[in-house]
Amino acid sequence: MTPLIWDDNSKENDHYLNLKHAQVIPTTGLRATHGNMKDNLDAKGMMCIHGATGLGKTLSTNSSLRELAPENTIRVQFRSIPNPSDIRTLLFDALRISGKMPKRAIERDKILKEALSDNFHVIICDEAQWMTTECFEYWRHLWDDPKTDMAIVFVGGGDCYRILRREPMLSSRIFIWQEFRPLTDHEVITYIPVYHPIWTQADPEDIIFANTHAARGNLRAWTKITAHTLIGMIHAKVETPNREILQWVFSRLGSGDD
Amino acid sequence: MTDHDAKPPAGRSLVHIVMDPTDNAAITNAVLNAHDPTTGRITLHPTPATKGSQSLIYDLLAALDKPIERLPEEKIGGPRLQQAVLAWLSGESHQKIFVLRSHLMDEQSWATLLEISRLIGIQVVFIYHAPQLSPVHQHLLFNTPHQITDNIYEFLHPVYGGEHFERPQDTTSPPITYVPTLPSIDFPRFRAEMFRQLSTEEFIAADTEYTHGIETACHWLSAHKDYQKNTTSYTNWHRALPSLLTPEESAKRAITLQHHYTEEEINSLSQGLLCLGQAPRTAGEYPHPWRDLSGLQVFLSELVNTAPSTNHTLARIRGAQAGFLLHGLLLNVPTEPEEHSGPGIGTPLTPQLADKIRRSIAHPQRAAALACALLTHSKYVLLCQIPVSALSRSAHHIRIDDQHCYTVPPHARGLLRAARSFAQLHASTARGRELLLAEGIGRKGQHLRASATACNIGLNPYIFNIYGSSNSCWHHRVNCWWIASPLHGPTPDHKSHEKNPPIPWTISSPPLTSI
Repeated sequence: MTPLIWDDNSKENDHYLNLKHAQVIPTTGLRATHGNMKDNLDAKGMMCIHGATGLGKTLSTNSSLRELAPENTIRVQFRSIPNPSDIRTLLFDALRISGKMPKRAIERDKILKEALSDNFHVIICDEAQWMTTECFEYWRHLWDDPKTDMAIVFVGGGDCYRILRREPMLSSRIFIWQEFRPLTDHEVITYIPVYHPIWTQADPEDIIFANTHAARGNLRAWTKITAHTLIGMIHAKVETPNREILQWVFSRLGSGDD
Repeated sequence: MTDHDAKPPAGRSLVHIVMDPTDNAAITNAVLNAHDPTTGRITLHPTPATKGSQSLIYDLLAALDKPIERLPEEKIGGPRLQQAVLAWLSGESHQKIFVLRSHLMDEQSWATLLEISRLIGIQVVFIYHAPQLSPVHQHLLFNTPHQITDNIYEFLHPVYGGEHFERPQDTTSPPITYVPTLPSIDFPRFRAEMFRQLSTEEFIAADTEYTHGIETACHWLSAHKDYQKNTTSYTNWHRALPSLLTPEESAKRAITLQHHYTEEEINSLSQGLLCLGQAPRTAGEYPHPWRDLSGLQVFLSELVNTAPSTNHTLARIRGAQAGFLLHGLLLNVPTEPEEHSGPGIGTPLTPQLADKIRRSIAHPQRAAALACALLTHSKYVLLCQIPVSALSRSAHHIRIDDQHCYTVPPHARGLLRAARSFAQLHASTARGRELLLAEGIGRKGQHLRASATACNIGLNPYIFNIYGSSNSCWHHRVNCWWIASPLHGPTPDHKSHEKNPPIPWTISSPPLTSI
C-alpha cells in the first residue's frame, strides 16, 4: 500500500468521525503535549508520543502544531511497512521540490537536505510503529546532518514505544518520551461535559456509567458513544442522555456488561 | 608550509575503530562537526540503505564537496570514480577520514576504504555504533594493522593548518583596498605621476601596493644567490673612508672615530652611512645580464598572484622595478603589462575562486585546468601540452612551454596535485608523456569552457585564440640587467636587513621625479 502524505491541517478533521460540535478538551495529555512539543521544537529534537489507540495522540499533536508551527509542519503517515525510498519520495512531494527527482539516492538526499536546511521544518511521523530500522536510520541521517533544520515527532500506538526503544540510535536522540494514558474518572467528569453539548446537562453518574461500561477513558470510544447517543436522543426526542439510551448505544457498539 | 607528503611513522596503524556501543548522538555530532577539509579531516556520513563500493565512492565525493550530479557530464564513471577520489584525497593532502555508521557498511565498502587507506596512506577512523565488531568486519581487519578504542576525542584535533586556508591568510600582502586606473608610464616617473593624477586616498592605496612591490623585491634579491655572488661585504671600515683622503688624513680620521666609538659602532655607522651598500665584484663591468630569468618570472608571478585587480598588479610591478633599481638592477617590463595576458592580469585566482572551483567541478584535471587558465592566462593549446613533470613536487611552481615559470598560490596547489595524481592513475599519455591538464581541457578547449560556465567564471578570450603569438604573457617579456652598484641594502646576510629595514616610503616624503 502506498504511503500517503497527510497534511490536512484543518480543525474539522481533528475529531474522529468528523463529529460536529466536538471540542478539543484540555486534557492532561493535550496540555502535556503542548508543553513538550514547544520544548522539542525549541531544541529541534526528536520526540516520541505513544500510547494505545484512541487516546488523543494525533489530535493533541495536530492541535499543538497548529499553534506552534502552522506553516512548516509535514505530516507523514504510513499504512504499510515503508522503506527509505518511500520516505524520500514522500518528502520530495511534501517539500514541493521542483524538477525531476534524481535516480540516485545520494542525489535525492542532497536535494532533500538542501530543502530541509532552507527553513525549519517539523516532521510528524504518525503510526511510527510501522517503520523499520532502515527507516529510523534514514530519519536519523537527515536529523543528524549539520545542515538540516528540523525536529521530528514520532507518534504511534500499540508497540510504538517498544519498537523505538529497542533502536539504540533513537534512544540517545529522542529528547522527550510522552505516554498517553486513558482518561481518569476525574478527567471524564471534568472534560466530557465540555467535549460535546449533549453531555453538558447530563447526569455525571450517567457519564461515569458510560465510561465504565464502554469508553474506559478512551477518547475515540467517547466519540463513537457521543455520535450514537446523539442519534438515540433524536429518535427518543429527549434533550439529555439517559441510561436507556446509553444501553441502546452499548448494544450498537457491542460493549457494555452482560 | 605543509608537508603534504607526510605519512604516519612506520609501525603506526592507519586504521582505527572507535567503538560507540550506545550509538551516542553526541559522538556523531562531534564527528560531523569535525568535518573540515581545510584542516585535512573528512567525515563520511554514508547514504542510508545503499550498498557497495560505488555508493561509497559517491558518498566520498559528496563528503569532499564535489558536485556528484556533474559526474556523468564530466565523464567520470566506472573505475575513474575511485581514481578521482584517490586523486582528490592525496592531492589536497587530506589526512584523515571519519567513517560514521561503519557497523552498517557491507564488506565491499569496508574493503574499499581499507584499500584507499593503504594506497595513499590516509588515516581511516571507523566509528562503530554497536557493542562489538561483526564477524565480517573482524575478518576484514585480520591482516590490517589497526587499533580499537572508545575515545573519539583523541582523533578530533586538526591535522594541520591547511595551505589554502591559512589563518591569517597571506599576511605579507597589503590589505585589500580599491586602486583606480593608474598612469600608463614606466617606473622612473610612475610614482610622481600617481601623486599628480590621483586623489590623496587613491594615492595612498596605490602607494601601498607600490611599496609592497619594492619591499618584496628587496627581500627576494637579498636572499638570491646570484645577488649575493655579485656583492661583497666590507669587513674593514677603513676601506669605507673616502678615497680622496691622503693616508695621513685617513689615519687621523680613523683615530678620531676610534676615540669616540667602539669598533662595532663604527662598522655599523659606516654601513648605515653607506646604506649597507657593497661594491659588486663586477664593478666597472656594467651592464651585464641577470641570469636567473626563470627565477625572475617566478618572483614576478608570486608578487602579483595575490593582487586583487590588474591595477594592483601594475602598482606592484612598478614598485618591484623601483626596488630592483635600488639594488643596481634594471628590470624591464612591458610598459603596459595589462595589454598582455599573464599573472595578475584579468580575473585573479583568489582563494574564494579556487574554493568555488573545488565545489563546482568533480573532475580533478578539469578543475586544475580552469585554475591554471586563471593563473597563467595562457592559451589552452599550451596548457594541454603541460606534462606532469612540469609541476614541481609540491606544486609550488609550474612550467609552461618548457621555459616559462609560474608560482602557484597556496590555495591552488591542491588542485594541481590532484590533477597530477589523477593523470598518473589514469595515465593520459601523448608522445609517451603523462599530460597534466589535457583531458581537463579537451581538444578544442570545450571542457575548459564548460568548466568556466559551471563556475560562472569569465575567461580571457585570448585563451581560446589558437592563432597569434603564444608568448604574450607580460612576465615572459621581462629582462633584467646589472647596471650599477646597489644603492640600498640589504646585505647578503638577510638578518642584517631585518635590523636595518628599507627606508619607509610615506606620502609625507616628497615624491621624487625619478623613482
